[in-house]
Amino acid sequence: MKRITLYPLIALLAAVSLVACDKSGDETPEADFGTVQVDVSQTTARITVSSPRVVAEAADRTIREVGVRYRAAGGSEWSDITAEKISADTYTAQIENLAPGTRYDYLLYLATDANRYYGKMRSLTTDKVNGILGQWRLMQWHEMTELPFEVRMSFSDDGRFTLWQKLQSVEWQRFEGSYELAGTILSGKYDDGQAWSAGYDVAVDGNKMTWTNTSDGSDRAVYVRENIPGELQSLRTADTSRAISAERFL
Amino acid sequence: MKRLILLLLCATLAGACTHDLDGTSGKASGGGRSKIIHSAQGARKGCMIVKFTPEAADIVEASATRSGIERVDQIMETVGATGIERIFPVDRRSEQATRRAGLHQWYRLSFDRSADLEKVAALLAEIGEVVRVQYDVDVKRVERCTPIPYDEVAQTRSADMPFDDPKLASQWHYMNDGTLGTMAEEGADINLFEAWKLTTGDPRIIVAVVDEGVMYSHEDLKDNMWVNDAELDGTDGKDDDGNGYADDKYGYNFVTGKGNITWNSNGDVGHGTHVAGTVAAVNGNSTGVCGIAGGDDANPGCKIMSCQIFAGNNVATTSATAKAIKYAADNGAVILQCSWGYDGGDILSDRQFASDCSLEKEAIDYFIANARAEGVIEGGVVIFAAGNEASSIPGYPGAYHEYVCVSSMSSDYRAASYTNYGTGTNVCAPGGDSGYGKQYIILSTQTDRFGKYGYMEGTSMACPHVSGCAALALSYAAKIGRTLQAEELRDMLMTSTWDVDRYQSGTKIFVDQYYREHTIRLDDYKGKLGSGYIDAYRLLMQIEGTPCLYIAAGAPQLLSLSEYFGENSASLTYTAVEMSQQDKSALGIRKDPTIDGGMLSIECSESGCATVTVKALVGGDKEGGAAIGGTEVTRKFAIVVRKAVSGNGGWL
Repeated sequence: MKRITLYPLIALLAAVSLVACDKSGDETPEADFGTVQVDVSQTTARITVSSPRVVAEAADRTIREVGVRYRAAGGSEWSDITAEKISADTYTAQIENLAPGTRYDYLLYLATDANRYYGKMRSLTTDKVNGILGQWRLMQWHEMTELPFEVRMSFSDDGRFTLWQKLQSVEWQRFEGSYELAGTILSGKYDDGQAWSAGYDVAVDGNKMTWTNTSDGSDRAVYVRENIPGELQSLRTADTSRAISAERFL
Repeated sequence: MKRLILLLLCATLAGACTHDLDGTSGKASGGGRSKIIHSAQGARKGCMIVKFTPEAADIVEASATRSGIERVDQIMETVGATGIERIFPVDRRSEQATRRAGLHQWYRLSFDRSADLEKVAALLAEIGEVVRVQYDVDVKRVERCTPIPYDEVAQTRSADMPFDDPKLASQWHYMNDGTLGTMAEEGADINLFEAWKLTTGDPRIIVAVVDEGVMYSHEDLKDNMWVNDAELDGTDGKDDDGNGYADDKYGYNFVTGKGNITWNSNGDVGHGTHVAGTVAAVNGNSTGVCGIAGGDDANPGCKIMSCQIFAGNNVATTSATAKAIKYAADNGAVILQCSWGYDGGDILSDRQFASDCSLEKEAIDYFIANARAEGVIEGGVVIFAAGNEASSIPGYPGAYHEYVCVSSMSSDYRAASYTNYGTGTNVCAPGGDSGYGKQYIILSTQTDRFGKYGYMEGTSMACPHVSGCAALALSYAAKIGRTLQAEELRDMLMTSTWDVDRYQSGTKIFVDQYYREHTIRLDDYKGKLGSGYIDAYRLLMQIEGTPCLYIAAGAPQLLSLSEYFGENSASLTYTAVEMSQQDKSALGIRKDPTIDGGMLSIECSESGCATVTVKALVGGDKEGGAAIGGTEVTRKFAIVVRKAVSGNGGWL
C-alpha cells in the first residue's frame, strides 16, 4: 500500500485553502484539517486526519464529525463516509471497493453543530497493477494442488505479460502479449492476435493471487510469487512455435 | 542383385513340436508326451534338459552326485550318466529371485553320447517329479554375412556434426539430411541429434549384447565396455565375485563356458561388435564412429556387456542361451539386445513359443521381472530383430507380445527389401538396404579383422538402434530423476514413432539366401511395420513427461492421440478408454468417451482436470496368444477442460 503524508508544513499551507463550502468546494476559510495521511491500495483508500480544528473566527468550534466525500474523477455522484475517531484528535476513514487503477476526487469535511466545513478538492489514484506485477507460478487450480501441468507468468508495469506453460507439450512453451485491468477484471491478448479465452477477476493478497474466470466461477486459479528460472526467461518465443504447430489439435 | 542377410538365425527349431512317443520305443505316453519340448533332430548328443517340480528340485539340490530321485537315477544309470548340473549357477545376490522364478528347477543331465535321446526323453517324461523335458539344441546360424569395410571415398556429407568422430558424417541412420546421395531422403533417421542435446548416455545403464563376442579392446568401444572389476582384478580361473561364473570380466562366453570373450574365430563376422557400436561406440573421442548412447567427450556413455552366444562356427545351446539372458539380468543389464531369432513362420503363435521355448522364455521372463538399475528402472526391456526373410511373419522370440520386435527401414523411408514384417512387429528402425549401395547401409564398429569399421545391413542392425534409444531414454530418466517400470519403457518405445505407411509404394527386389530374386510390393507393408519409425527425441520427450489434452467444454471434441501412441495412432486398434466415475462426474461427462477413427471422442460440460487411460494394440489387431498378435500398450494422460480455450492453446 503506497502512502502519501501531508506533513504539517504542507498542511499549514493547505490550511489557507481549507474552506467551508458546499459540495462544489467553494472556499470558506474557517477550518484547518491539520495533518492528513492517505494510504492507497488497489481497491481501498485510508485517509487519516490528525488535529483538525475550526478557525477562531467561527462561532461554533466543537467538531462533531470528520469525514470524506469522494467520487470517481469526472463522476457526478458523491459519496460520504464518516471517519472514525481513533484518538482524541485523530480520525480515520477507510474507503473500500474502489476500482484499481482509478482516479478519485475527494474532499475532507468536518462538521460542527451549525456548519459543515469542506477542504479543497483533491485526488487520489488507486493502484493500477501493484498486486499482479512480478513473477508467478500456478499453485492451485480447481482446488487441486497436484497438477499435471505447469504454468508460470510475469507481469510488468508497461502492460505486458509473458506466459510459460507445460500443458499440451512436455517442453515449455512461451507466449507474450499485453493485458488490461478494468476494475478488478484482467483481460488480455497474445501477440499473435488471439484474445485470452476469458477475463479474470483478480484478487491479490501479498504473495498470493486468486484468479476467478469471469465466465466460470469454478475455474479458480491460485498463483504464488516465485521467480521465473533463468532458463525459461531466456527461452525464445520462437522456440515454442515448432511444438505448438506440431501438437495443435484444437 | 545380391542382398546380404545378416540376422543370426536359429533354424534348428523349425517345426519344433511336441512328440508323441511311447516309453519303450521312444514314444511318451499319456501325460508324458506334453512334457517334451523340441525335436531330437539337431539336438546335442549326450545331454538333456529337465525341469523338476519344486519339491524334486530341492531333493536334487541336496544330493551330492545323483539326482536323489530314484526313477531318474535309474534311467541315468542305464544311459551312462556323467553328471547332473543346475543350469543356472547359484549367484548368492540373486538366488532368492531365481527360486521365486522357478529357474532353480532346471537341470542339465549329461550321459553317454550314444544314448538314444528320444528314448531318454520319453522315459524322463513319464516321471511325476519331472515337469519338462527339453532337448538341448544348438542355436545355429543358417546364413553368414560378409561385412563391408568402411570406404573413405563413400562419404560426401558436409553437415555440421555434434561430435568430432570422423565417421559420424557417414552414419545417416542417426541424422539423415538427404545429402548422402540420391537414395537418401531427409528425415529418414532416428532423429538422434535432437535427442543428443538432452543426453548422450549414462554409465549406470548397461545393455547386454547377446550375440557374437564384442571386441572389448576396440579403440571406439573399450571405454564404454562393462567391466567386472572383481574379476578383472581377481584370480584367473576363480569366481572372484561369486556370481557363478569365473573370469567374466566383460561378460561371458556362453559357447565355451569360459570367461574369455572371442571375436576372431573362423566364422566370426564381427556381428556383435557392429551391434555394440550402434548402441554405444564412444562419442567425441575424435575416433571412428558414434554410438547412440555413447556419451560425449565429458561424460561416459552407457555400458556394453558381452553375452556371447556365437563363437565362429560354434554356437550356444538352448540352455547356454538361457544362461546368457539370466546372467545379463543378474549382473546389471537392463536392456537385452538380441539380433537373432527363429525364422519368420517357424513359430506361429505366442502360445507355441511359450510351449516350445519354455526354458528360453522363462529366462527372458526372469530378465523382464528382475533386471534393474537403481532408481532408474525396475525390470528389463527385451528387444529382438524381426528377421531377414522378407516374410510377412516376424520371427520369434521377437514376435512374442511382451518383447519389442524391430523391422528394418532403408535410407529413403521405405521398408528394407529383406525385412520381416506383419503382425507381431512393433517398431521399425534403420537397417539399410545394400541394393542402394554400401553407403546406404549401417556403419559401425567392426573387429580389427574387418578393418575396425564397416557396413552391415539387416534387422540385426535395426534392432540395436532401438536398444540404443532405450538406453538413451534411461540415461535421460536418470538425469531428470525419474524411475520407470520396464513396461512403461517398453510402451514408450512402441509409441515414440512416426508414420511410415505413406512411403510404402512401388516394388523392390529381394534376393534370398539362395540368390533367388523376389519382387516385393511395398504396399503390402502398409500398417505392418509396427507403430512406425523409432524417434529418439520423441522418446526422450515421453521420458520428460506426459502432455495434457487441453480442451474446451460444451462441445464434442475429437482429439488426436498421436502424442501418446505415435504418429500412426489413427491406425492402431484401441481396446479400452477408462475414466473413473468421479472424474467423469467432475467434468460433466454424460456419455463415456470413445475412440472414433483413432481419435478420442469426448464431451465435457464442466471445467476441471481428470485422468484418462487408453489402451491400444501395437503390432496387430489382437493381442498375442493363441495366434501371433500385437502388444497392448497403456498410456495415461490428463485431460484439462475449461469453458473456453484460446485459439493458440495458451493457458490464459
